[in-house]
Amino acid sequence: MAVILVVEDDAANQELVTRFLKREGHTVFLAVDGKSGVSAAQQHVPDLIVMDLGLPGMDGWEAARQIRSSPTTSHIPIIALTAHALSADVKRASEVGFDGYETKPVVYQRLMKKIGMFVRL
Amino acid sequence: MRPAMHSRTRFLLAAGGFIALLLSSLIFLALRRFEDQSALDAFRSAAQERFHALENNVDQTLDNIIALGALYDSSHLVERDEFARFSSRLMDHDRTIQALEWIPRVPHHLRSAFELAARRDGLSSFQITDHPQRGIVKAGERSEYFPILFVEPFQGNETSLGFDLASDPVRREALERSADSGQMVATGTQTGFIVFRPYYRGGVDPLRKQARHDALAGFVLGVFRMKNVVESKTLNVSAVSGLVLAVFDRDAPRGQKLLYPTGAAFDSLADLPKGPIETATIAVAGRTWQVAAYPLSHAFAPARSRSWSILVAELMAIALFATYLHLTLNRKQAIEQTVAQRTEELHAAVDNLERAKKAAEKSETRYRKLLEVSPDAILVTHNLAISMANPAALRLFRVSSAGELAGRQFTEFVKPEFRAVTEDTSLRLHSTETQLQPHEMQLVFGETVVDVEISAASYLDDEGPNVQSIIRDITERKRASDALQVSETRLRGITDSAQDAIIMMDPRGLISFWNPAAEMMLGYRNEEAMGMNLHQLLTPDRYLAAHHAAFPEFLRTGRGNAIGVTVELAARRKDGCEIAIDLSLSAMCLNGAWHAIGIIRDISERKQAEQALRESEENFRQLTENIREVFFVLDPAANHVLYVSPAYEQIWGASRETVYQDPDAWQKAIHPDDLEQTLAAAAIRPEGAAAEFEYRIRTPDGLEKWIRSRSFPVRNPAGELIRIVGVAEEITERKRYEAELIEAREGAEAANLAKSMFLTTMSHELRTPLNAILGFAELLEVEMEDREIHHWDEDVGKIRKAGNHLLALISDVMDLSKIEAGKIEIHAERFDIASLVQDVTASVAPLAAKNQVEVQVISVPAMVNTDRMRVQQCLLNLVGNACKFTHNGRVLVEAHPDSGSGGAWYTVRVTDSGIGIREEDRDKLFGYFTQLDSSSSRKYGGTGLGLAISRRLSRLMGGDITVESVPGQGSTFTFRFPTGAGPQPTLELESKAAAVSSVKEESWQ
Repeated sequence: MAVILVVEDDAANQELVTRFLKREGHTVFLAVDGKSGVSAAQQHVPDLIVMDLGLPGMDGWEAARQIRSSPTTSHIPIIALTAHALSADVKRASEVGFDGYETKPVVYQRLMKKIGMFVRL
Repeated sequence: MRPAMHSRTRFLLAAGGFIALLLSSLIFLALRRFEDQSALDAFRSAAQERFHALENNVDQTLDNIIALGALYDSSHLVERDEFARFSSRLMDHDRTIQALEWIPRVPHHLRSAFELAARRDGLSSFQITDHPQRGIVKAGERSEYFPILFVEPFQGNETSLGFDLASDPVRREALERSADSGQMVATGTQTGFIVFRPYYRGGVDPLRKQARHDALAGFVLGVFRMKNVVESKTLNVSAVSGLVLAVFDRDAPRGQKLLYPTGAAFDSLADLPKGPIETATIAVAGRTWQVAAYPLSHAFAPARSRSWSILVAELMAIALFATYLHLTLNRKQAIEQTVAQRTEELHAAVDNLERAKKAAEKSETRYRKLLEVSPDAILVTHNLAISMANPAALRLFRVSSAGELAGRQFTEFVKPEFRAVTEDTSLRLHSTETQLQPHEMQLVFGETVVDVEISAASYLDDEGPNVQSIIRDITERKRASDALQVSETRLRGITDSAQDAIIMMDPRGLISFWNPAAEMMLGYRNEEAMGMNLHQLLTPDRYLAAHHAAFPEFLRTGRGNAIGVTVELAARRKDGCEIAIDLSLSAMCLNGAWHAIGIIRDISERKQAEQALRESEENFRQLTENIREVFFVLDPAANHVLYVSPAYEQIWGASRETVYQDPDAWQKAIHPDDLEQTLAAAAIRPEGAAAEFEYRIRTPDGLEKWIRSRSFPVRNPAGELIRIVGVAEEITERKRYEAELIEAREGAEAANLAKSMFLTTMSHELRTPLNAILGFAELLEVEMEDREIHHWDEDVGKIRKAGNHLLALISDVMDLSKIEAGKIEIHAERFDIASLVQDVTASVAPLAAKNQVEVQVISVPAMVNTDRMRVQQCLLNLVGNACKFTHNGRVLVEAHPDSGSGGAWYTVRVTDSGIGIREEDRDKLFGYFTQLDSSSSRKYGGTGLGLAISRRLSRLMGGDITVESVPGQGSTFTFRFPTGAGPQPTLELESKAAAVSSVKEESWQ
């Protein structure tokens, strides 16, 4: 089982993603914005980060960039989970170092499949 | 002796002695009378001899004038140096000549020209003068003048130059008599006499008095020393012959009759001392000279003393020879008589002989002198053998003495081509003809060829026929004539080729020259124009009066307002129309009369051009003064405004004068904020092109206006900036529109950005709750599955289906909005289209299976460079639709490169065996929310936006989607798009062919 950090500001989606991941036996930490997401990553050094892009304050792109630039966290795979379905957003995400990209609405099987690509179950 | 004898003898002796004495006395008396008579006879004879000698001397003296006159007659024009040469040669031969002169006749109207010409000829202060009692004054005005032009010797006679001989009454009378008679006329001076000889034009005496007066060209004149004429060595009167000569001019007035000796106390024949006087008259050039000879008193005395001594001797001899004397007296007397008679006869014979000899000598001398002084060579030939040659001939033939020529054949010296004709001429001169008119030929002397003019005459003497030839060297004349011809040809060449008309007018106002350009310009041919009155022919009537007023002054002085300048006039052509001309007139004096030379340039075209320019300028002025733009012309060098159009006053609100007076007025009106950048933009750089700039001005009444200026450099051919021209217009209104437009555009852009932001936000905000709806529905499904609760499966399924539909709608609306807003960007990448087609087909397999549709794919591999995502979207839509709307049928997907029209394309055809589409519905197919059957949405699902999006995307990529259909049988959708830039992948033709053949095998039955 893996430790996964979920950075998500919408409460309903927090609960949905958390319940999906826990159902699969992962340990889940939560952060509600970019800044706390970066510090949580520093604190817990999770095996994987699932991050929303449209966050209040520091957005997902900036948070991912800071996580990537820190030696402590630079190795952690980050999967974007976003309603930003436009191709420009996808391109931008891959540029700052996201390793995967999932558009909302979240499809259970698809999300698990993508996490499985990074985390040994 | 006996006394008777004595007395008789004494008586006889006395008588005899008395008789002897008586006889002696008688003899003495007789002898004395004889002696006196003899002395008188001798005196008379000597006097006559002297008279003849004097006459001869006078004739010889006059020969000089004849020779000089002949020079003029034969040469027509004698130059100063030629006159001097000829005269000095005469004077070397004859010491009686005191001076020789040439007196031309000068009409009053030529006086100044004559004086000018003489001054140019070297007589620097020459003018025609009178010599009154004392001093020399400028000659008064007379109808004509006879001034001394040449005088020889020149030294000592300078002051006589210009002296008008006609101003002296005596000489005038002599001149007139000479001119009228054609003869030499003499007149006296204090120490000698003057002889005039007229020269008529052409060297020919016209014979009639009036004709002589008209043809008179001048006189040659000789001044001779009387003393030398009388006292030549043959006439040394007083010293040798014991007689004195006196010469009187019979026709001279009393007191001026004495010609010789000068200073004597008598003035006429009657005044001479008593005694034996012998007289004679000599005709000298129209005057009669009386010559008197009288003996010196001592010349007679010795003759008397001799008779006395004879008497004494006789008396002494009487005694001894009385008888003898008595006896011989008679005989002696007889002998004396015979002797006297014979002597007289002899004298007469000698006189006659002497006279004949003198006449012959006189003629000979005259002829010889002419031969010697003649400038022309004179030859006498006999059968062409030269027997005599004059000095000029020796010079011509390059020999030093006559001996070298004597006996040689004249033809030796004739150039070969003239020999035959010379010999022929000689024959004729010896037989039939006596004269040969002057003709030209060439003589050869060694290497030298000489052009000569030869005339000849034949005469007979005792040796037979002789030919006398006069040969004139005309080499110089020929050369001059050739040079003249060259000069004339050159001049003709110039005038013939001149573009301007060149014409001349003679003093009668007649045309005397007319060049080809004049023919072209004025329409008259040369032969029509020559001799016509120039002004009647060419001058328009309105100019005639001015011409008539100016013409006499021109004829007199060669001057006039139009002379020496160029004036613009009009000339009348032959066809009557007038042309505008530039006329340059100059005057030329020919033979003392004024001619005019006119050079005429046709300026009609220039005039028309000037007119056109005036009109053009007027158009320009009207244009610049009526347009709303300000037109200006600047002189950059002087920083000066040359022109600014009136529109300036309306825009700038100031008068144009302010700009003309102050070039900086323009600058002062510029808004201070714009001044610096405007001046920088306005500066025309030396190599620069046009300048264009905008700036604000402030008018005197406080308005702010926007101005747009464009200025252009005007350069001369050397590239130097000479003018700046420009246009300035007010653009305040336009500036306002522009500002509004910019504002509007910015507003539109902001709105568009807001819309874009709105769409992004919408997409995000709609998806977020939808995420929760769909996610929890799925979680519910999963957890109900875990607990094996199936009671709400159908309800949860409906939530998920509606949620997914809403999600698809949101995606499609987003896509369309982005397409319409131009937000879609095509991200080209290289990929293999065939494998994409396979992937898409594979992805619809579940749908195909559900609808029992058999899908076949025939694809030709090709690398394309375009947006993979969008191509995939389009393919998915088309293949998905084919499977969706077909039940229990077939779908064929054919994909292959297509180079059909202009470039490389790729075509994907999707053919189904479905319901088909009616023709009238096909256009609606690509609209929004247009599933053809309103019920179909429920039946087939989908948003109804798929084809609309696909077509728009295909067009964004440069391609298109089209449809063909047969309702009830099926439809074919064709998606065609450019393969994009980049090399086409190499295709293996065999494998492609294999692929195609496999299609045939698998083609749907």
